[in-house]
Amino acid sequence: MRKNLPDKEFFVGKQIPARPDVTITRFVDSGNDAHLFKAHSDQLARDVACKIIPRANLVHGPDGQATWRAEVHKADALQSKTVVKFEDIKEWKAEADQIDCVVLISEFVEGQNLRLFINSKRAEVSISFVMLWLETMLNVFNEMKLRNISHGDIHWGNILVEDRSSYDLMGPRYVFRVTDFGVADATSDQRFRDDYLQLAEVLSHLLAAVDYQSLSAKDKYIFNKLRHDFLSRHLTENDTTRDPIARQPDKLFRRLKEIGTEFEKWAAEQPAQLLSPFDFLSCEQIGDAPALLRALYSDRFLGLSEIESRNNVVVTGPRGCGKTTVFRSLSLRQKIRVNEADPSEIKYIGVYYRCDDLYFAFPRYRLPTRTEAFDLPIHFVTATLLAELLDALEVWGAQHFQEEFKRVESQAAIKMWNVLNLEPPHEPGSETFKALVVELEKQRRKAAERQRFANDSNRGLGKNFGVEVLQRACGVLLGSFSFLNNKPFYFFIDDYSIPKVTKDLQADLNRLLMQRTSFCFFKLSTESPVSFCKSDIDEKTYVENREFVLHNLGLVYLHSKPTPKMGFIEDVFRRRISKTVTAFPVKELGELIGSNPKQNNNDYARKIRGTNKIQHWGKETLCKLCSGDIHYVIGVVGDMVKSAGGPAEIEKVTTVPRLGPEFQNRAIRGAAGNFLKNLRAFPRYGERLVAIVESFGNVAHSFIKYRDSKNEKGNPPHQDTRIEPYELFVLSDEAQRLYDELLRYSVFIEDFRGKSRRGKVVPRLYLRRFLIPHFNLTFSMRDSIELEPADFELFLLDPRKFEDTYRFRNPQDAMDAEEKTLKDKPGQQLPLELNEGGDHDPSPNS
Amino acid sequence: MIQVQTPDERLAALKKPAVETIKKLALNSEDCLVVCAGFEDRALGFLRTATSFKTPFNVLAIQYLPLLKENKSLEIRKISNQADLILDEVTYDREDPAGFGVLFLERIHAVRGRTIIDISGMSRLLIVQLLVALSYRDQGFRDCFVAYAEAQKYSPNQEETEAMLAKYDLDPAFSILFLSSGVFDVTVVSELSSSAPSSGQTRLIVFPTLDADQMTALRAELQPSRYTVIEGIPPNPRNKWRIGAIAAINRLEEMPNTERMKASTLDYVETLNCLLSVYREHGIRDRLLISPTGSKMQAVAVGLFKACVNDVQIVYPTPRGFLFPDSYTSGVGALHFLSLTPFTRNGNAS
Repeated sequence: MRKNLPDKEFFVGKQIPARPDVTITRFVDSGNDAHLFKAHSDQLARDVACKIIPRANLVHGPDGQATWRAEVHKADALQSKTVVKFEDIKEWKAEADQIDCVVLISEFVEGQNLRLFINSKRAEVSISFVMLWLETMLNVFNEMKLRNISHGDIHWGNILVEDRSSYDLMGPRYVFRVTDFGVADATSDQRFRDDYLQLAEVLSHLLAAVDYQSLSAKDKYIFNKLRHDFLSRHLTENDTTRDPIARQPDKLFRRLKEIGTEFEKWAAEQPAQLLSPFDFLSCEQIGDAPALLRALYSDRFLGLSEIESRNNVVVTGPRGCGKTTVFRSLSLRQKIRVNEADPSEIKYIGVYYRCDDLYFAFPRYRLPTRTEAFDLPIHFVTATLLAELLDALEVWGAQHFQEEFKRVESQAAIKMWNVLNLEPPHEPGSETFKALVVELEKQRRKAAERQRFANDSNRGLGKNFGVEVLQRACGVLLGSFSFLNNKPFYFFIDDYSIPKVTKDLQADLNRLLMQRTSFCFFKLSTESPVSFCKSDIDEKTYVENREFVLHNLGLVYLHSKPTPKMGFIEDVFRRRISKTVTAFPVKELGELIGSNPKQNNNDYARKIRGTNKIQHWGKETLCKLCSGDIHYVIGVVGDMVKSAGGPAEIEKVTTVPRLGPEFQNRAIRGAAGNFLKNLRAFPRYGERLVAIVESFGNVAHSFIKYRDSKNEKGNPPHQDTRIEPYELFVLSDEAQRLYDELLRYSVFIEDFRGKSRRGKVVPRLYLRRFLIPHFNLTFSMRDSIELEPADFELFLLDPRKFEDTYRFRNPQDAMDAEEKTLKDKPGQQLPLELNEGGDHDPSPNS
Repeated sequence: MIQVQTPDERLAALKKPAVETIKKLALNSEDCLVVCAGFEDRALGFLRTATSFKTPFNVLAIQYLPLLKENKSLEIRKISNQADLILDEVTYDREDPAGFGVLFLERIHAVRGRTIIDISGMSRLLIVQLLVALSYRDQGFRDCFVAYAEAQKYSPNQEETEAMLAKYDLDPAFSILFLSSGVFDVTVVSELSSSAPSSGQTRLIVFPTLDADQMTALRAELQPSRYTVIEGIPPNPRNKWRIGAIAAINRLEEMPNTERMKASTLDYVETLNCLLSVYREHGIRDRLLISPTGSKMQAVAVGLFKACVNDVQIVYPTPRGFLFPDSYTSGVGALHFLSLTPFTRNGNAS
């Protein structure tokens, strides 16, 4: 209730009678007991604030003493620069106008109080803003406690957000200030409110202004800590036996500072455990469990050195081949979380980004009709990558380079705001990485929202980051912090695959992600060579080995020598077995499935021809089944264990292998069938893909049965697990889509290395290795089914007809086909054996 | 005690209206009934009952693309014509549904009375799109209602299902297909997307169905780290066998990293409570993907949840086709009615 307040208009434009150098210039606000004005002092040559309180509202002693005066001067004892102190106290009497007031003169703080700030700039109330505010307040409370001073009337009207830009070149531009110390005690309306409860109330106003749903995981965590710990307990509890840090500003301050670090620990402590060595088959399943990821990550991964090279690299390979595991493991964030971020071990600053985020923000992206909308995805990705980079760098910097980071952060942040061409928020803490991260997250959201109206010319699209911004920002960081010397930035962009990240979207983003500098490198993982677009919207074509290195993990594994491949697979199992929380009966893969080194593909082929099925078992077979898809290898061994009755049954077996060949063989064949069943359910083309691969398998099997390899000693059966076109083919749109999908799901693995019989550079298509047993073929890589382009098109579009044409039903069929070929195409044989160099069968004893 | 609530907590604290079972629905000239020209008999249940009062009203008929010959478009036109209803039509492309919410709001902009959305013949994704679009309006859900007609008979029956499961047990590669055939695409539309900062792992909240292809496609395309499976409990005890059958078809026992919940297929509040619980438990660490593949009333719960809690992502495995549209369900069963008005404050506050 306002009381005794004179007409505020009376004061405006007048000099204070007892301070004629001070002229009231404008009204600012009113409280219950006083008016607040802005005034100008000629003597001081600056503005001052004047709080005018009717004498009747002031506290007096029993004998009329001006006890209020002592209350107002209480704040003089405080040294904190946050506190706004009264510089002078004067009387203002004008009997004719019934004015009898006291004027409290203090410095004038340029800026808004928190109430106005929240109401006018709600979107700028971020978690870092709230944290900084609470730190500031607890710092003041600490001094208040030491000097036994209370404020008595803390509310969002007397906490100010000061803009110091008009006079201060050095410090932060925006700071929090607290006014009206002692005023509550000095006025007659004695509302001796508890400072902590009032602090809690202001905190609740601030938290209510935060847009919870737009927060990052870290900020949501902090939000809930502030809400549940500070608001509901530490600040509102006054019994220290119930809460030992209640009313202890120094402890509260320390507790507050711990929350960020606590989040990092919380994030690293997901209780994901291996209950069996076959849990968590893929990195996606591991999820956010850094310790588990670290434990399962094998640095014997084939192809790691190429990924870590200072090149832009496009990594491709079958699903589950470890792309995500490697990319995530190489990020600075992961290394921090598993305590492996010692600066001496960090050769580059890795930032991991998974593109499903992009897929959700830009679903089915088509290039907009408005050219100014082209940069929206660039804006989104730049903001996202930079936010993650800055956040990780802040944590790392604070851990290992605290002094330098603290010293340089503000200047680096100012430069970053300039590079981003963004106005820093008008609030304390804007010159920090935290504020930059908050703003970049906002920019991400804006880009995604604007994209919905990308083709609507009535909607503005705002300013968007250009393709140069990320590089420039990285340049600023390198130039600012000495600890980043000679440490390039590696951006690991995972699952950058068509169709989720559409061709148009890739063409747009490639302007950013295919840039080449000496300090920024992009590592793109994509499902298959055809799920990556090799051009951009400026019609620039990116050439392999010039703009980027294509690293096909499927081929790496396919053509690898057995020793490193086996070493990797055994290491993966060793790690998994050792990390399993319940004891597993064996320690090594070899003990579980045994060794079966004497495998001969020609003998196997003859067995197949003799209607005997081969029994697949042993670690060498497992190695051959792997096309890089390590998750399959783990899964299939898991199936073997399961079909044998589980670990308890294996424990009872005392001979090696613990798992009999029959269990191994059944699981290997079952896994292939399961893959085909799942493939059938995949969107759009699933059933057709299954029909294609089945037709290939059936044709290839008929070759083993009825056709001989002519240029081999002993005329062994023809063993085809790949297709080789004679000529480079141009497929119809529909056939091309099917071809791309076959590669996308790695039903076949494409290899461009080598030439066809006719000397043409053509892709060879290798059947995914673990499908070989399903079709009763051998692992030999000697023979090919060779096709004319038209037959290849037929194979894709009408696999049943293809099978009818090519499949041999008996030996006579095979002979007839060969005679026909010789007649039609003299000098050629069908099916033809591969005869050029450079190809080999990696199986040791074939 | 000073409290600050998050949007999910506001939604949790809200007193949710109950689903009422009604015999008939009377509409007046200012009301608009939004119907979908789907292929099920029940798609026309509310339209027929409302016309029995002889009072004209507005109808907004949503026509599906791709067109199925079994769709009820012609019947809707015929009924509207005979009852002097004011019919407006709008097309919904199942294979390219982005932006339909905006189109829908434009069409109902002039409605002065109640807007009744008859979800009986609608795709689940469409239900979510419509509810989220309504929440964008200044008036939110005020004067909006959901109408839902049960079917008399749902396919397949227990014997058919058990026969299929027996085949499946013998040959794990055998695909069980009852209603829809395959998945056209996992659909993501930007208006149901969340641009909240990405977190490291995703959790798929999914409602398993008799068509395992849907779950397979979601798993293959999205590769989530964690799963929450909300199994539907049919209101009719005679249909309880479906719970076990659906679990077997989708091999829920074998799914890794999965938490399982159960919720009524009719009482949307149970589903809403499941979603709130998942959000509370996992909303910070996980990016939540919700696939409204369950019952239509469960899709209502998903729509209301998304309208109030927007940092979740909707994904939907759009069926490639329907095997037997004319026997998907048959007949019109009990009619249900739900007021959405109470969600207005909450929806708009978020």
